[in-house]
Amino acid sequence: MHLPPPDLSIVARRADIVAGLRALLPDGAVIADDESLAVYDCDALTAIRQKPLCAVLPGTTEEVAAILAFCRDCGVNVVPRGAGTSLSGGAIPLGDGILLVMAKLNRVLDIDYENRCVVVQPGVTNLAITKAVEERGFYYAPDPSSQIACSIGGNVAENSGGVHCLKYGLTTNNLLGVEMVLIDGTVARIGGKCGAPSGYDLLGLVTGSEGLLGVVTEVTVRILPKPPLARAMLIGFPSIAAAGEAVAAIIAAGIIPAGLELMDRISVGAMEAFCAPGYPLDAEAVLIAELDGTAVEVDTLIACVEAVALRAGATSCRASGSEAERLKIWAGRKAAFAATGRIAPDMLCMDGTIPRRELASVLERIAEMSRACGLPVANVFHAGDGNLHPLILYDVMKPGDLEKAETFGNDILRLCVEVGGVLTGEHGVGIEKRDLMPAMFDAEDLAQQQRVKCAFDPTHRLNPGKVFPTLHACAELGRVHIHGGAFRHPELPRL
Amino acid sequence: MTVIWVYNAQEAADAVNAALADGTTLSVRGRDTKRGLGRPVATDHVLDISRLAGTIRYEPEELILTVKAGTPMTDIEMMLREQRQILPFEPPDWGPFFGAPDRRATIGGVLAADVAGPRRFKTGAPRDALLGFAAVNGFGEIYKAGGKVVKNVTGYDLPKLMCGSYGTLGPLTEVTLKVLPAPEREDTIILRGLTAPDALRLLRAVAGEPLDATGLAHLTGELAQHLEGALGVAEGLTAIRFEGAREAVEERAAALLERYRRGGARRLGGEVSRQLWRRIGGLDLLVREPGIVWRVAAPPFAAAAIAGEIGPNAAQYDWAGGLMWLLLDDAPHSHASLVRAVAARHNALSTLVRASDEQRTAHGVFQPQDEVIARLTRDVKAAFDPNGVFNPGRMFEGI
Repeated sequence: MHLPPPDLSIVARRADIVAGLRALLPDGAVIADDESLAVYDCDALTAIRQKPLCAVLPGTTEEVAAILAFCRDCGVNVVPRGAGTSLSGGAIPLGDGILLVMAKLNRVLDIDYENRCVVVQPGVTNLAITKAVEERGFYYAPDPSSQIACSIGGNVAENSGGVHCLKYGLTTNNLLGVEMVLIDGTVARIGGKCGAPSGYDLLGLVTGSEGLLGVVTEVTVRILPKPPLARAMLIGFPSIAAAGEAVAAIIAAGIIPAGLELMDRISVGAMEAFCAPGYPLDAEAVLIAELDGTAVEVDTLIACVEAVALRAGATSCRASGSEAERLKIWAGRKAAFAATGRIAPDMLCMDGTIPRRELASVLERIAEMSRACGLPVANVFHAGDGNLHPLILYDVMKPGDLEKAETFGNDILRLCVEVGGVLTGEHGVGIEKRDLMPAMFDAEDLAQQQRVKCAFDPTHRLNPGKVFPTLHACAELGRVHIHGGAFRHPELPRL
Repeated sequence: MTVIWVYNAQEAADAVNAALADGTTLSVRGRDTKRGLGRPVATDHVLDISRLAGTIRYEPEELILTVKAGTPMTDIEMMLREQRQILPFEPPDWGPFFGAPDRRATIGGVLAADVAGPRRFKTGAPRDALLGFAAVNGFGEIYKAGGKVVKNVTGYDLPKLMCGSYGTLGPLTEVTLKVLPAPEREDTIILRGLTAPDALRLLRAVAGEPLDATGLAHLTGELAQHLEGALGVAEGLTAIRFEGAREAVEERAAALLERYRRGGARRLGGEVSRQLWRRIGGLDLLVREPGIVWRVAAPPFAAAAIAGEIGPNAAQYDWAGGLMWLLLDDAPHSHASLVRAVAARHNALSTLVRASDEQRTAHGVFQPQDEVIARLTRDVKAAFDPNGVFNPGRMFEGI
């Protein structure tokens, strides 16, 4: 995992570039002193740190357009950044590029209950959208665990998910329109408040494009009426295989729970030690199932899930009786990152998706690899949609540990693709999985994607070095690297 | 013009390479049921993928179905029914509406036209269900994109782009779709005699409540009169559908019935309800009425105003007003300047869906694009098909 070598001819022009940008923008919008830039030298993938040429904080769409046109004309690279919470290095700066920080564009522009949508600027946080409409009983469905900090612009760039996406979809399924500035400074308005596009689905294409196609300056999202009731169930199993069977049986019974999360014994132990959410410590696997709807509906679904779980061999099963209890059940799961961070100095987080039927065998193979390399692994799993987050625990101070962890992580991702899965379910490719793309895609597949890139950004100024492997493909594989326990945003719930 | 029948992806690629070598163009088709949708296309040859059919893998417990692109919808629906599952986007059969036989559509055609039914506002369109695909591009290469699992963000979301591209980016050869459990029960509450604006206000209110309605439609009397039995009365028919677990559907339908009891609300269950929504999705009532048909996708709140300004002879509203089918007199001008202007004023998107070849050529089919989107559309088309081999002009001039 490495950044492309900086173009020294650009770096040499730094003073001119900073002066040129300052001439375009209000005072204070361009940050170029070394000390202030230290704030921006990485995102939540902290293994790589790199200061940008400068950080630029536009306050309007017009300023974004002026900045991009300037960079295109002067041949300067651009890395867009929302809140900097990317787990795949999507917002890691480049030494020969500016960092385009969207934080100042943080206003809610239009709350439209009649059309059940909200128009916001990209720097608005995910949770702030729900906060803006909850008084009228609405919410914005995608809820990545970092939702108190991550921005909606970043959610669009990464097509973020969340624990409720099995039932309510990813960002792309809840988005109605964006305003996006292209690299030449043109402002494109894609979609709007209509529920169906006309012409090519450019909105679908730019969602999840990781900042490589344009810079989003306005976002229109659908809002939903909040279900009257949600209850979470906590179900213990004597084995991962039994829990996996229960998940398959729940889906086969025709139930799509609002959330369905599986945790192995080591994760459960860590979470219990961290915030005592009341998980059963004697179980090999613990399943959280959330059901929502009316009281009658939720009662019915809970009874059905309980019956299915018991048939699959569940050893304990209880459902939350109050909202406080429901939130407590989720508190442990949402703190997976921080909790695991406390039982080991360092960890690597993977993000593959596998067909669920492979769950037991994949976790068995991961356990074998863990024994072979001597590094423990904790597993949390979005069980409903097969998105696996193995957390590899190691100590960077022990010679050879990091290399072992990286090899272990590589093997896990290879395994995900081998069993019919994919490299990333929700964290994005970014820089961390870039060189692994050929494990999933053939040359023709990647060529077609890169042609699409060229349709939007023919000179490759937007976020170069991300998503697509360079010619020097190395064996670096996908992971989140947390160093020395001092990972960024330790306070944020994760995964 | 010759028809090239292909039996596998390689033969499709061979056909494209031959077209590239000869400098010829290809119409991409499944079983040709939606030829009337889009601008008329004249090509040198037809690339027919209807022989490229069959299930590759169906895993009900994974909610995943992989089929070849020419697979008939009837086969897919039968297979899903046996496992009590459905395609989330409730694909309607538009065959008869476009003058083709019913029950002949293929999954490839449904995806290419992004055909979704009344449940779309709730569970999405084909673009939300297509997880991955294999296709042939205009370079004659077979490639794939997306994945075969329900959650994936690896690489650009090209599956979204293929949906609604009307074959202009090349033929799909294999598709992987997300499926859902079939609802255990469905009930529909109907109300009679509301004006369209009143009905739309009511439907929007229901959409804003946590009632989980999966159908919110209104038919004007001119269309409703074609329904069978007691439903066939020449006054407005407003319909609200609930689907899901038995207890939930009963609870919600009962609540709504009680609320609108004094307005004469009635409950339709089971097959009667299913039949009504099948006919709404399939535009079955519009088939009975001659004339030009425009489809307008709109911000729901604008629906009543749009219809008021256009003044159709009859209208079918779906998605609580997010979608309108407007019937107008046949006229050489197709009412195009009026409809386009009204749609533009309300940030809506109009499509000329039923009109003669001459009218669709003269007035275009899809809402005209602004300069920036038109440029991106051209550049995206060129990224897949720089020589303009596939369905030239089907969507827009040159696209």
